[in-house]
Amino acid sequence: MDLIARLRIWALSRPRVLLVDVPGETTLRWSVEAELDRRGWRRSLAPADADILLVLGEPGPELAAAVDVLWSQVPEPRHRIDVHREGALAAVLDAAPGALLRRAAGGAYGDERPSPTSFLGEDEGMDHGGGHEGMDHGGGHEGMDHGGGHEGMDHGGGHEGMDHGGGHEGMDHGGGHEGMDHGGGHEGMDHGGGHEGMDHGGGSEGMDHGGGSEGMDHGGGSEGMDHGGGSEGMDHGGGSEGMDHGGEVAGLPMASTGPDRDGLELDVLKVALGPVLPGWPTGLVLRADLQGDVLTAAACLWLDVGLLPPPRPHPDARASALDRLARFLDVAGWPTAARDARRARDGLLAGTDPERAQRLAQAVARRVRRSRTLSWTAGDIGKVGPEHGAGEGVLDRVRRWCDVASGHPVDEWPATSLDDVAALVEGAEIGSARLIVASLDVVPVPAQSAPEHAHA
Amino acid sequence: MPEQTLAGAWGMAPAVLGVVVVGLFLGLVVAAVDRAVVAGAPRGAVEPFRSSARLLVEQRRTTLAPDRLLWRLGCAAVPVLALLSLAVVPIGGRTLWSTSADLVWFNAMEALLWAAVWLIGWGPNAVHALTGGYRFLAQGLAYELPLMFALITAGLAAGSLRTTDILATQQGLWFVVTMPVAFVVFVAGAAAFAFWGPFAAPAAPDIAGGVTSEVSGVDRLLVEAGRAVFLGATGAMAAALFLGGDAGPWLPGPVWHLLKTLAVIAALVWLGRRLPVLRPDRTVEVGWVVLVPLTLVQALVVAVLVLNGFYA
Amino acid sequence: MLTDLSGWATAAVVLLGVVAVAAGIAVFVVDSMARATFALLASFLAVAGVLLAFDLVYLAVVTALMMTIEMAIMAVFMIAFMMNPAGLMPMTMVHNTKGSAIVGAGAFVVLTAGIWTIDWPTRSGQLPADSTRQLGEAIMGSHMLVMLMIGIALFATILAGTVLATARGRYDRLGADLAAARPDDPVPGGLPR
Repeated sequence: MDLIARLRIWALSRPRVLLVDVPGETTLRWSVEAELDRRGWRRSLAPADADILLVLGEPGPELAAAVDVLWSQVPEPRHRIDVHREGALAAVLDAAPGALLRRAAGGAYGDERPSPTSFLGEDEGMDHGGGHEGMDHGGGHEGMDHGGGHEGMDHGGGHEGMDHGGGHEGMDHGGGHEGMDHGGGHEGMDHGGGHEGMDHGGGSEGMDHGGGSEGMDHGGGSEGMDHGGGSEGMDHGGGSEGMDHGGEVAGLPMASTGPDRDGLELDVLKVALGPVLPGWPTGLVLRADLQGDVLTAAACLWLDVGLLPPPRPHPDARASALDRLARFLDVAGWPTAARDARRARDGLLAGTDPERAQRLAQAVARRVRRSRTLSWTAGDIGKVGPEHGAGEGVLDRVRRWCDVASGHPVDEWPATSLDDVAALVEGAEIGSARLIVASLDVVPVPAQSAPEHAHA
Repeated sequence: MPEQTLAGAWGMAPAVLGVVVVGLFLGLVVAAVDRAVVAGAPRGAVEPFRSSARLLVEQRRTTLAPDRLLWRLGCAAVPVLALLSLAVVPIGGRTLWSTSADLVWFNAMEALLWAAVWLIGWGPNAVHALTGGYRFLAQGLAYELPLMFALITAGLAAGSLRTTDILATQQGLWFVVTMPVAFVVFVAGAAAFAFWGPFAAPAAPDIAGGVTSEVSGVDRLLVEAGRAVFLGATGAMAAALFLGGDAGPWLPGPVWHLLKTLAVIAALVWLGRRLPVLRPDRTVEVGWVVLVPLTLVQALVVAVLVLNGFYA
Repeated sequence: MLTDLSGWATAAVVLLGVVAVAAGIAVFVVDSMARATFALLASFLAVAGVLLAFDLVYLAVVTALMMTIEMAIMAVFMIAFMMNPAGLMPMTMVHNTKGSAIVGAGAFVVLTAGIWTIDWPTRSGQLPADSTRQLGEAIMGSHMLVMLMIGIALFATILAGTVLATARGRYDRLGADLAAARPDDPVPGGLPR
């Protein structure tokens, strides 16, 4: 027993951290990243991989709601830390493994975790603010708990339970649905409400395991939140035109098909990237239609537009550029270069060995600038139109940061507006879109009413 | 049947256990080297153990409306396939079982990995995971043919699809000398199959971890361990097919094979981590347009050499 | 025939045969694209297992290899058009249920009757030491011409299918006079061409 306890202490002594930096808390994020690097704690890409949710600063109501969703997706044992100032940092991080350990030792995790479907209820009001899209449908999810029987269905030949009609009260998960799907009837798509598959992940699994031992996530639901895990509407194209309005899958409305780039009728999945993603400006939400992995009908907005701090560039332009570079390299999947950029940034800020930091900064800038692989893989995307400059692409912007980072003077360049961002990612593959956004200097500026994306 | 198999020599159960142990060892080596290179500090060696323990403590999570059966199946299949592919890799000069189509077996395990990884992407009902699954298939399609040709080239020179026969043929000259393209393509293709390093697009940070973005706890452990074991198995297979396996002076054969395997792994990780993730829409075209003809020419060269009795 | 096999192999053949049929039925019973596809794959893998039990390693492994790739690609194409991750939207996997049931049952009866009524030849000579080599020599020796023709025909079919399915032709990519230096593609590939 003692051995197991020790093993657990050892295992949790280097937890993974999901960082949420509230807009304007850049310097706090830098010191947190430096501290995490010093401790050898890795940052996670998604809530599924996190033990600790570290919120830097005071999120506004919309971002706070998004963070709550993220928090609901972090698997147990988990620990949430809100840091407001640098001084408290070391102490709270020191305490974190202990907190995780207590939760892990506690065994059955208290089930304060909201059901994923409960987030579906918050949408209507939030939709304009940009919160969780995809989480519509009024609070009625009573019917969603359907004890254990459900699990059985899941494996049994693969029928999910079904529901009729838009309201969730009526999810009959009894045996009744068996008949529905095989029974040939299932052109049933014309029930207007459709039969949705209602395998409510989270809810039922937790029940089966008694203590609620499964984390929940809204892969489907909570679009905005984590990794765009979601989808406002998922749709089954073929012949389901009629269902678009009433149809839902697991509480998610159905979308419809639309013409795609190559002249096909592909399904349109409504997604929102952000507000929290690796290397992504926290608080930015990019809503778009996704066909395959191509984004169309993109629109951007900031969460908590009214509360955004005025943009104030960091006095140390080189450290800023190195940070930008590090975040871009994170997105580009180049961890060693990103690590070096971060070390150079921290070295410049610490000021203890400026020579060394300088050398490191120049080395990483040179490495990135000269990388043929990077220019091959990230070239030719994100070119701004001639009205904004001479067809400058992702690579040119990254190289400009390299110049700043290694101490060369560069011309000022105009900040990118959200509309520019949306225009650039239009028609881009999702990975390219991420690279484009990471390469842009998107700073939170209070925006005028963001256009709701129209959807065919 | 010239060689005796591991199963024949040790009995089935100990042989299987031995292969599993070797697989896990190789996987740990890959993970430790990888961590050390990424963190820039040599202390990475214990981190894979710690991460594994952490994932065992962690809860498995689920998502809204997942296809749980297929999802879990995919997660469990990854390490199983990795270990099965190791069954035809010679360990100490012998394979766990010896079939007349070892190379095709190895290839089939990688193909089954397509299905498994795609399921991991599909199961959780989430955009990033699904995108990762699609990326893996696109990547796999582009690498499958060059990889097959690379494997077949080694078999062609030996006149057999049996790995032990290929080992025996190389006692004079390592195959890498006459088939460098096949060697490089094999190692790179295997990195692509383990979606690791520059070929990690299916699990890349730009899609928040892609296929791995929704898995946690023991599921994540299975997937990550499977990837590492796959890379380790590839290192061992590359050493056996192209670097002469256990051929070498002074030291006993198995030690040579281990050293060569570790060298392949170290070189792969060191090189791979110097590069950013390659976007699939770029690599796929290279796979089809460059690598397929290149590996075919390589096979042709080897075929001509075989006809001239070069390998006899 | 089965008498040549060991008890284990016979048991495996029977068991895997049942699995193959059951998984095949499951294709028509499950109500999601992904599950139908993978039920079909399970069926093929069971058949590969049967071949393995017969000690036809090459055929078994190639069956697994080919069918896995095929099913994976099929899944992508089916689901690319219905982007419902996890595919929980139930749907029927068969059209014309009655007709296909009749055809399927008829084929099953004919084949089964054939298996038990045909006077199968008995083996003459010894088992080959290496069935893979024997297979290769059979295919690449006397049947070389046939295999070549089939290969070329299949390849031509693939190309033709792709050409027919592609909306964009070279005039769209390179301009009406095919003079553009770089083709106009929605997403440029990895090669400078």
